[in-house]
Amino acid sequence: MANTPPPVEITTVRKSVLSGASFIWIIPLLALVVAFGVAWQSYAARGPVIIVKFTDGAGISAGETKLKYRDIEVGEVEEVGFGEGLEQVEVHIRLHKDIAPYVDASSVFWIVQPEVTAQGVSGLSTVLSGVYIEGSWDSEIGFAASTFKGSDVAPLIQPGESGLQIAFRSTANGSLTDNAPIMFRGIQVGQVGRAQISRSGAYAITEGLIYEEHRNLISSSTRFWDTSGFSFSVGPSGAEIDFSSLATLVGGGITFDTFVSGGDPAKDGEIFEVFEDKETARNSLFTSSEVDPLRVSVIFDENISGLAVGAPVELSGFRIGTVESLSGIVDFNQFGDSRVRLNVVLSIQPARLGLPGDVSAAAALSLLQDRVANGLRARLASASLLTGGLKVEMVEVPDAAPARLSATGVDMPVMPTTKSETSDAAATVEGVFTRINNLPIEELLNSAINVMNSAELLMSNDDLQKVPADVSTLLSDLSGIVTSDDVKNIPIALNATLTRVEGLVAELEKQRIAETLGKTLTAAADAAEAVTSSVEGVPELITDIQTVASKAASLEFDVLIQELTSLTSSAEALVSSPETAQLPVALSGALDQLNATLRELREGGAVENVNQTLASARNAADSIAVSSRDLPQVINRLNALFVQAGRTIEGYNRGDELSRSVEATLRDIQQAAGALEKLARTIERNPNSLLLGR
Amino acid sequence: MTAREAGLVACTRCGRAWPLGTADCGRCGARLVSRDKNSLQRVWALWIVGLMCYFPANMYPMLLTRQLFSVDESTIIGGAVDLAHHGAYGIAAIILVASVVIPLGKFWAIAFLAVSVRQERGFASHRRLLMYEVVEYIGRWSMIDIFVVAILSALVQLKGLATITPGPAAFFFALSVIFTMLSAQAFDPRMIWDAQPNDNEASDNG
Amino acid sequence: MSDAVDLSRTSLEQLIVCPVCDATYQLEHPGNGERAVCSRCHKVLIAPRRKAGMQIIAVAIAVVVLITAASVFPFLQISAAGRSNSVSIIDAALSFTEGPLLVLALMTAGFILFVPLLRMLLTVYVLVPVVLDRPPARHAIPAFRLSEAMRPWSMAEIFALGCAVALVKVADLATVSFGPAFWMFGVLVVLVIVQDSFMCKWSVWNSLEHPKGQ
Repeated sequence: MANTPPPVEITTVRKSVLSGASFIWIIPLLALVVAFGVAWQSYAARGPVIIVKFTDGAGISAGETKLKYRDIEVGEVEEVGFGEGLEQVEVHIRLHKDIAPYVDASSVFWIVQPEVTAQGVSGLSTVLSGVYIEGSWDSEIGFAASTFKGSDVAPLIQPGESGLQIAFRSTANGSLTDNAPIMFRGIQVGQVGRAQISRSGAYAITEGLIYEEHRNLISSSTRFWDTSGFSFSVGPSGAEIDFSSLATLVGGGITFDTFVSGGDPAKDGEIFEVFEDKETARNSLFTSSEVDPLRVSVIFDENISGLAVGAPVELSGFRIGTVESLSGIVDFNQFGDSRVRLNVVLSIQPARLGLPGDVSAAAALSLLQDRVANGLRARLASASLLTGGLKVEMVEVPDAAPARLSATGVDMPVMPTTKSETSDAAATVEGVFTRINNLPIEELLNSAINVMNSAELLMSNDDLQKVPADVSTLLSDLSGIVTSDDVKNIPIALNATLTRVEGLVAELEKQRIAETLGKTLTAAADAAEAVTSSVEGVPELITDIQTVASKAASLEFDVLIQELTSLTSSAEALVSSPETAQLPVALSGALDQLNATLRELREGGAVENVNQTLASARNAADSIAVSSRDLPQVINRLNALFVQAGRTIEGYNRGDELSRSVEATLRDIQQAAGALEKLARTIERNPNSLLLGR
Repeated sequence: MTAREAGLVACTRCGRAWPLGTADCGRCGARLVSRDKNSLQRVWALWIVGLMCYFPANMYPMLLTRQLFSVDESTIIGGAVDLAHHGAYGIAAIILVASVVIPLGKFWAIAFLAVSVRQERGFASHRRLLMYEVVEYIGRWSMIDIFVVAILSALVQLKGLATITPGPAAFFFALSVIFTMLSAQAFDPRMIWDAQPNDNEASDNG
Repeated sequence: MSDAVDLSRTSLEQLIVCPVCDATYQLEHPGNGERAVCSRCHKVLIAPRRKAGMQIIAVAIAVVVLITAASVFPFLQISAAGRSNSVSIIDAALSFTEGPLLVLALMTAGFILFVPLLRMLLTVYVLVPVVLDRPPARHAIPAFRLSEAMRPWSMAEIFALGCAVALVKVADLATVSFGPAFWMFGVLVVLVIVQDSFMCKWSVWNSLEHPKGQ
């Protein structure tokens, strides 16, 4: 029998995981791959984390604040926390991978925030965008570091900048603030960094940076000085106010100049000293560094006020030291009396003397001793006309009494002195006006009055009274003579004289005394000359008249009056002499005319007018004398003021409208001052100009 | 033939039929409810809450835009009008449709359905069912407004330049959408068909 | 009406009721590619697909991976005038952080991320034994019920469209660049939509009720 095959065993196949595999699984696989790929990429592209420690957080927030290098974002702050003991703020910054190697141990980090300084406002953009941390490192890969100490301020040299790095040393009164500019000819060529006190405490040391392009300006003979604030000085050259720019006015600044050529170019790290002003800086070039000063004592006989501590000590006009102290000294044994004398201690800087070889106090002493033996003496002199300050001057006095600069070794050497020269400018001008004041105007007037009186006497002389009777006949004869042909020989000057005399009378009424007098006398001279030249005594009279006339033109009153007086006295003598009757009638007529003129003068009140004029002229002279005591000073001050103001304007602003008008005003003032000066000089030269108005 | 008529109650989740009165579905464990008269109450209650939330959603500002130092608040409708002024008519239209037309339409539709179930007549059941399906489908999409606000507020946080923060209207709008969704879910669409047994037979025949 | 009386429990399994219109039908399994449709309301009742299970699982896993990745990586980055801001999806969800808005923030994060994630995980959890013909996992039924209950609350695709709208709004103000999460999220949304259409609920319920492993 055939058995039916058993049914095939059916086993259910358990579906394995892969049996349903189809393309559908690509999707999750792809998703996984993509997810992991992105994760890996973002992880691998991360740079390292560095820790920067700051003193305060200043607005740094995790996840937001960026790290920038040359204004490009190179990192981000991941975390902000505190260091050990809450002392510092630790900022974890994740750097970009490509920049990470360059961040080495020499890197500097600082926070950029808005700042307002004297030099301006910086970091304003961070108000909107938030603060950021800026880093600076070089382009070489150095030692790697992961922890840094952040600095509070940006370093002096920013990345990408290079320059000459020097240090400044300044003593007291330095007012350098951080980041003050270094100016040269008005352009900022560098910057001052932070100031620190040196270890010894005597100086402030500040680092400075001169930008690369201006590196060549600095050499070993460059001197720096402080131009902070403004400087105001009054000295022999006048008053001066000076400041460089608004920035330096507020925040301080240094400027420099290379006064001599031939210095070596400066190197990084050189230390320069910052002087107080330009003069000190310039002077420092000519002196080697200061050594101990030589102290010398000087005893002045006169006790003149005006010398102060710190006043300059000058030799041949060059300042070699200062007055260190003043005191009085009374020493009966030394001086022979108990007067208080002025004991001045001078501090002389040997370096200023320009000593060859050894520069020391001893060498200076020996030099001075040598010079004193040759006549060098110390004296007080005016330092400034305006302020009346004094200085100590050492001058060579010719024919000085022999003296020595004694150096006993224990006490200070005592320098011999000579007479002080304190000039008083005002005195000279005053003297002039004193002289004017002293002009004998009173006597002048008195003698003029005497002349008039004697002239009146002359006219009221009895002898002369007889003259008119003769005169009338004389005149009729005269007219006959004039009309006759013989008279034609008489020079026409007589006619002219008469007409001129008439004109003179008219002019005299207008008080033109001098010219008319002169002309009168000339007419008289001419008349005398014209009529006769053979009369005795007349030639002298004529010459006298002529000289008087010429002198009248030169207007020397006193001489004029004398001449007039002598003239009239001689004329008087002549008139009262018997010969007078023999004088030609015309001459007596001329004299009569003169007398009449003079009488009219007096009656017309001309003399009083002259008196009054002279009196008022004298008052004017007095008042001018009074005011002119101050005139030279006024003139000087005005001049100085203009100079000072001019410099101020120059330095302050050019081309500004305000300054232009001020300049114009100052120019007017100067012209006025100049005119005043001229007036003073003219008056000094020619006091008569007061009277004549010229 | 409805399950109800057959004395059965169906599980709305899994479609299984159970005898009427069974409490839970044996297959999927869902609660078996044949017809719930209270469902309409739930529908209305949730509908009212949704409507109540819709008003503050439009009155309060939806977005607060802070640009530099000026703060600009805009409500839903205000924002759409602004966009239209700036020329972005498309976006304005989308916003208006999504935030105003659709919610209002939903309110109206649910109300209509709830009312129509009570009445023995009305629109054809198909239409009403369609309306119900549409409401249920679109309900979720009203949340797009909320998400737009969320994205904008999260993205535009550029301090000092422009900062967008959501306003209280967002909260109310979300609540309104959620409650509307719950309201639509509470509605039992089977009730649509109960009212018209004639339709039932008509469709059976046709 | 008379039919109703005789139905016993076992025959109830032969019935299928339309959840929308409550129409009762006799159950018939459609084949792959076929569908069972309610004749009254035209709702699709059963729509099995070939190898749907594996596909669903694969897609679910992909979605899980993508969601976790997309929520961590930067999503969008905006930059304007030198300032920039980069957000991830979690940042976007948590942008409501003030007061009552915090609730909204949590809800938003839930709708966008957690609900889809949970749904996918549950789906995987439920389907893996089914597909492998093993007995269903413990609590598979409540898990699946939960998963289905959360379906209307999964709003990932709505968020994607919201992003598009927001970007259009912002793009003319500033420069917006997409991070990796953006693309992941886009793919994720597509996958979620695909997955929802692949899955046939009834088939899963049926498999859960009648697991093949037993």
